[in-house]
Amino acid sequence: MRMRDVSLLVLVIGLLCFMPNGSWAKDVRGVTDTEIKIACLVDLSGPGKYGGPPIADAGRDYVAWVNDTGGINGRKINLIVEDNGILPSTTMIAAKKVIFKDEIFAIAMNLGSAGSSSILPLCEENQVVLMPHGANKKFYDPGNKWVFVPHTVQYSMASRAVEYILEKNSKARMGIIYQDDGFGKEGLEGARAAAKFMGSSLVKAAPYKTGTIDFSPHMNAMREAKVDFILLWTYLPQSASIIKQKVTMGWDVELISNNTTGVPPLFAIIGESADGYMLVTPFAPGWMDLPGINRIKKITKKYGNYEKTLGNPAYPDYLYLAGWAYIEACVQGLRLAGRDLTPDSFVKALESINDFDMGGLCPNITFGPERHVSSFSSLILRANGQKKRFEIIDPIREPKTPQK
Amino acid sequence: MQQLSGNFKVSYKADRALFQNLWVKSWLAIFIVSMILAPFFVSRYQLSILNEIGIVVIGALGLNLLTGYTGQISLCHGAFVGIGAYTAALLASKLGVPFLISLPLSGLMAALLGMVVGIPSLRLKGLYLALGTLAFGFIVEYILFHWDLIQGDMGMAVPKISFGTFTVRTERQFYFLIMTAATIAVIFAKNIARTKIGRCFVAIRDRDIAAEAMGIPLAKYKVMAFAISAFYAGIAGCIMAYYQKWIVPGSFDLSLSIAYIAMIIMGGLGTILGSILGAILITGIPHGIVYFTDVFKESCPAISGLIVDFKLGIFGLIIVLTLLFEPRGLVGIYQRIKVYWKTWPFKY
Amino acid sequence: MEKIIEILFNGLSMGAIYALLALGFVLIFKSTGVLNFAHGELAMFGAFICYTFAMLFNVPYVIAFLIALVLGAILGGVIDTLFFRKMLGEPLFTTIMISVGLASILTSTAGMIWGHDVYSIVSPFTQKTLSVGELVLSQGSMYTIAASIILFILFLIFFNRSLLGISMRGAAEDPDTAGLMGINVKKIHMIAWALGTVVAAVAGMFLAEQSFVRLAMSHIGIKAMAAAILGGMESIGGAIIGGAIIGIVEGFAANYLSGMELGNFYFGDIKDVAAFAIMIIVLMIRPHGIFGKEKVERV
Repeated sequence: MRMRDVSLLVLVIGLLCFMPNGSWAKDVRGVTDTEIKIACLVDLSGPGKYGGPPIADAGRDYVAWVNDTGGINGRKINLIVEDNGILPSTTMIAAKKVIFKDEIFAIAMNLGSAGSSSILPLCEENQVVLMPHGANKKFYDPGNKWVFVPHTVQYSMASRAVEYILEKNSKARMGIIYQDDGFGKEGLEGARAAAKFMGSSLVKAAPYKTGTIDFSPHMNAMREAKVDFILLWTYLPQSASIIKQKVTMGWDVELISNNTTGVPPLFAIIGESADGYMLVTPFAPGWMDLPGINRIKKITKKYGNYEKTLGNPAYPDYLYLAGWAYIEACVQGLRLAGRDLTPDSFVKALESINDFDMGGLCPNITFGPERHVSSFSSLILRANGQKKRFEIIDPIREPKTPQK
Repeated sequence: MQQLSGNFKVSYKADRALFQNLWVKSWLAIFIVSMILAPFFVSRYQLSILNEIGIVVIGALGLNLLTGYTGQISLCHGAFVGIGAYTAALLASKLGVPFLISLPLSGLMAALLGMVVGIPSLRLKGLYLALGTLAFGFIVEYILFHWDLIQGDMGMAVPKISFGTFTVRTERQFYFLIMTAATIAVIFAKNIARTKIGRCFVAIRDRDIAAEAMGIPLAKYKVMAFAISAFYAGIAGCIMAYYQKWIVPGSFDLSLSIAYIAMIIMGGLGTILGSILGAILITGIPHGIVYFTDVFKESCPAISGLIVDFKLGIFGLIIVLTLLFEPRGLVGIYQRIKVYWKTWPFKY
Repeated sequence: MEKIIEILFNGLSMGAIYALLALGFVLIFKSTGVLNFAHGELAMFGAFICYTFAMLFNVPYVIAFLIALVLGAILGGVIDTLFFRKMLGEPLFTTIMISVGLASILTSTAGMIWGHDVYSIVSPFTQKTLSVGELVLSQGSMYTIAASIILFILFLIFFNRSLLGISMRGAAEDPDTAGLMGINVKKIHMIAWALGTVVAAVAGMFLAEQSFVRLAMSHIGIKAMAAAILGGMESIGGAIIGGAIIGIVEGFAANYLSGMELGNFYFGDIKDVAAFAIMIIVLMIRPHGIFGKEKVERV
């Protein structure tokens, strides 16, 4: 092959790039006369494996109920649950499959914030509404036309936690142990902002690499700084390890953590030592007698597997309820969009949701043209080691620290 | 490598030729034509898979030049891809550098760091080199994770490719761009392999002390091997960054390096065709798993959970099985089949 | 002052685990010449086996410990037979890649069998502490250090005095000649793998006692490699000392360097990187480690 041939080839290929691009579909992708396809990307196999199945269960139960009670404006929902393995690369594979192969209309839930960030350009390009879990502030600030977050973000929750502590005791010395990635850093920022707002500051901040479970240096550093309260922006294994460390050290420090660690498996791992452990979370515990939760239980009993899910005390109920809130927000938007369902009409419909009543299960959902996050409020729970469950000690409230 | 009889050359030029005989040339022509026509016949989903394969082929070529031809073990190839990707992202988003300039620059940046890794390789052999490259990979991952400029693990955005007023937007346009780059990369790699540089690489792989005794400057060629392989990786990373439009440090860790190694082992160490075949197979496997679990999802949900767990182990299994049963990979299998057909009913 | 002793103690207990892993690693390397990248995964398997028997079948801890050792030995032998026996003459790259592949396979198998959750093993010395003056030392750590020291002495004696140990060293140095001398090289390799896996299982169980049992435990294997490099790949004693040094350095680095900010660059959690930094420095300056001998290569 001579240079001349090679350059000719390159020229031809280059010209072909300029070929006009035909439109792929005249109809709206994912919507037919009788059904709407939506996808739920959760981790069923990888590191976030304990998070995926409850959310998938919630999605399936809710969709079964909707389809059984007339569907949405005459269309049934076809829910596709896809494993995204939580990592960005596998999430990308899953997203490509559901958008290009299954041709879904919207992604009602994607577990994992790094994965959500990585598929955002893809969703933008193909006009797919994305609702990321693992809520981070940047999903709504600056935000994106296609991204909606029906969840309180980490920043707001951290602010709320710090405010709660400082309200009760304005001289409390607070430290924070946070995961050394976007999730943890956002907790750090929220906590710092709230502390500053309340006229105080965080005494010590100790990051840890994702996956670490040896916290002796961090706890030692906290003890040396004479900290009274430690804010834990961690995942479940780390929280359990820290509680273990606290007992080993014989140190009576109070711990308050974020929503991902507030699940019954915590008791399975460390038993009664979890007593007194506090949490900030947008979702009320599943055993409580609230209208929103009772409604969910009724639906699950009829359409799902109640004994295995909400009826099971060892079940991570927080995740089920979170999944429920996501799919409910999504379906509400679909309802309001009416019969003429397109990506743009869906976005407008979502933005018109105002104070949608969740019955005390979590803060009511409000979206708006400038506001793609559902709420800033959360509540504070405390773990009861004997009864092996969490109890509400401070109801749903917004943090006073400015959230923008 | 078994050479069949009947493959005689009558001039030095013919012996040195890039594509040896008419049979290869005609199949190549058919292949090129089908590649050009492909985007008009396959679905968008399949086109996106082909794009991924194209990007990965470039990286695999680089690694094969280093490990297959020069025999240097490198466990940090993923890190070089990451360096290329982040260089491109930084140049494009912070400095507004156009694609045609950021492409070679990200390759050069990766090559520079490749030389940095190459210099210790003069002292370290075998297992120490493997560990050294492993450590380098971890350090690069750590830096990418913690550098505030690139926003750590939340990732950073990459603007679109544009040539003047024309922006590359659809899968089809990306396809032509990627395939052009891949073709040029393949031609360059094949060229390197057949020239003095390639022969020096192979000599170093076979017996480096003897090569030095024969007059090949080890330092120059070992560092060059690392630099070239990193350059290829950087280019692949750059295109990947533009294609995905969002990059996170988490995708450039040890598992990416292992995937690349699986590609060249499975495809065939020390061959250009092997890199391409390996790239196709390894990229296709996760998609294949997704496809299969889709088919089985409704019928038996329990199994689909297990199969999906397999995704993590499948590369390891491929590497192990290939090395145990066919160390020369797909190319080895292909050559065995070719020899069998050509010499049947004789044995050789 | 107490703080330094506490850091030292904690560092030593982690270091003991690293040293155990490095010991198994060097054991396998010395006897078979294979760089076992899957060593961390073997430790994880040991811990999981112990967990299964102790927690799921409600067997007393000590018996579960012993069962894990036995099963670990069998696992090691099986791995050698299946994967490495064919590779006796093959180049280094092939064996390294097989062990890397093996690591993936072990991880995903464990994931399939036990899942990705975090599990706890309840042992007789969980959560119990000993107070010495102002210091609070965990009993588990003390047992770890004590048991490790005993094991090290046993292994040192084994390799230098016993017939089996010496034949292992011989087989490692030159398998062909050893075979000619009447040493059953294949059997030696299998024993080496079994022993190496047993030691890894012990390390895994000690680690589980200090933290939790979960898939990501295997990442510790890489630190074991750093420890082995530091001490010298050819030396058992070196592996032990290397492990101890890395454990202590990590402890001090974590306490004093973590959370530092340097310009635009935020140091974050130094602990993991400390091991790699040490590994790189050693590779740069003295690749064969503190106690290793430089290998003379012939054309």
